[in-house]
Amino acid sequence: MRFGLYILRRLLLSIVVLLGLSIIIFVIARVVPGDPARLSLGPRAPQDVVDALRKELHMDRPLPEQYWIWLTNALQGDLGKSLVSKRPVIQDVAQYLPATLELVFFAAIFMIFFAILLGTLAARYKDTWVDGMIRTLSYFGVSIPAFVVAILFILLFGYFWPILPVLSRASPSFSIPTITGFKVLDSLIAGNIPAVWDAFKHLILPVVALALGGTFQEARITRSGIVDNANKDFISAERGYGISERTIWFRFLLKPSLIPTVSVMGLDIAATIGNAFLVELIFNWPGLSRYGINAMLQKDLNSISGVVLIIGIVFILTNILVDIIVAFLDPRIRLGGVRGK
Amino acid sequence: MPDNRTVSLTNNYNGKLSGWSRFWTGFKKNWYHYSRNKLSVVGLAIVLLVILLAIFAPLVTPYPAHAGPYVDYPNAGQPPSAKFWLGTDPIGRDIFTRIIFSFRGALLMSMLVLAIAVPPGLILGLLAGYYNGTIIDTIIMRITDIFLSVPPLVLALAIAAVLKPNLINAMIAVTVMWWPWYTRLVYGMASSVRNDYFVIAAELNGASRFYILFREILPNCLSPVFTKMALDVGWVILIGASLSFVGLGEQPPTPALGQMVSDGARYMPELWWMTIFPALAIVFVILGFNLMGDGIRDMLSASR
Repeated sequence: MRFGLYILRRLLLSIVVLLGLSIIIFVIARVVPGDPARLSLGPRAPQDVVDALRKELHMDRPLPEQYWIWLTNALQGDLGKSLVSKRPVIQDVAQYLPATLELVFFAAIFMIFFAILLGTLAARYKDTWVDGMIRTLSYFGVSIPAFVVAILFILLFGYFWPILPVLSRASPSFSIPTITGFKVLDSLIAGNIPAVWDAFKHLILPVVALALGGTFQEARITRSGIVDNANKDFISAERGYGISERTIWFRFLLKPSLIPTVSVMGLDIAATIGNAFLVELIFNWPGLSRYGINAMLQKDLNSISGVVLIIGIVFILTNILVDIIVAFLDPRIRLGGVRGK
Repeated sequence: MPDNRTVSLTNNYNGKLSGWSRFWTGFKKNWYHYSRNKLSVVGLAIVLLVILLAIFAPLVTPYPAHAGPYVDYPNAGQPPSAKFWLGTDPIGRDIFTRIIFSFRGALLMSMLVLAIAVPPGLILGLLAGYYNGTIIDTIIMRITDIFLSVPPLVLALAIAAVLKPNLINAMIAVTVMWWPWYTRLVYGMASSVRNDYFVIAAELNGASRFYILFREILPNCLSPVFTKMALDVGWVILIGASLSFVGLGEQPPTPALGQMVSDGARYMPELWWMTIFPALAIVFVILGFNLMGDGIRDMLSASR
């Protein structure tokens, strides 16, 4: 029950954080650029048109009032109109968000799976060539920006060895009705197995480009977690009871060792969402990040603030999810209700 | 019979060392811990090489003029050769020269970002840690949480986007999102030593707040801060390259690593050297700083 309270407290704190985030976004989109109305109409627009837009954006009011108007509108789902698409920002977000979530979701799966696999291998074969190779790879993995991986993939798989699709989410030959917005899921619902495979193939390269750095970093954390725990008394005790080595590894050693790995997941997902801005641009992936980066390059202020707000919400929810997973791995938190006590 | 060796050893270390030899002993000890991992030494070599290349760029590069607005159509789009080591771009500029010159902006950016972001982050963390549990703690740490609630690259992109695109504004954008990490780090350290006896003793002796914060608590937090700074140089270069990749960093004709990669991507696959070599240069520099950062971490954690 105390765990429920812990989650409730986290949710309430998130509301405070979101309010603060909305202030930052307001400052970035409305205060920093000077005159958003002039910016959106261009330098040649006549002054009276600019003044009219200023009035329409309530920019003739004092700043706190402007913020209040913006916030109450945002709470009702009105994020303003996009300058570029001429549609309400919230519609654009609804259209593009699933593609980004799909990418980040599969990147997270990839990271967890390979981080645990490689980390366990490195710990199991500690100080052998396997361990050394995974360590060396992790140094490179951490040092290669996701956009560099993406560009190298395009060069390799787009031109020299075209075995995987490098652009967009699906081949045009498949027409799948959009239900959830998640291509793989939609194809499954439609029962079109070739389309599922096609959507999956389109995911591979962007997902690997996004996940590579985090995977190796987490593999190293998993390795050191296992190595630390392997010398603990509870493992020796289990060995003394005659429990098989396999059971010890999978039931008793892996679970506590994964706590630091999952804790870092929150940070790695942050990096993934940030890097998605460049990776989606490179792979021409029609997601929220590509929409966001285009908005940024065209100084589409309403869209910028909408995208940053939505990404903040997604990220805060992910972090709460990560905390819940950590709590399930760590009975001290689940039962004690407070992390680290 | 007295053991002469023991006597001479203790004589060497009886506290009457000159400043230089004390420094030298400390340096030897730290270097021992640093160089135990050979990769750290490789990292240091890479970092020194990059710094020297950046400082002496006009002297070491074959065509310093190519780092600016320069056009040489007869040599446009040349593949790597003895004359142009890493090839040339579509207007005939030497890629090698431009990569070396772009190290300047990358290093300058990471140094300035850390120099500006670390002190306020550190002071806020100290304050929040010292006034642990009070309203000051709550305010500072909630503000920190807010800045950490958006992925750093997203916030940096947004800030850089609304400002005029150039290197200074890219630095501002990265700095704005960098300080909270130090606040959180120092907060953890400061609040854990806040109730230790030496702090309470200083308080009872009537030491000023300033003295307690900066002379009693701060020295206990510095080692992880230095470690993080060493590792962060690589991160800042990475974020800077990401910003310049989308055109929000250094503006042409001044070269920047990310900008060179994205320029080259438009000429793939024919002029592949335009993309591959700047990309490898990014990896090379970041790898060097990461390896060096790991070495510094080993060194500082061994000497504690």
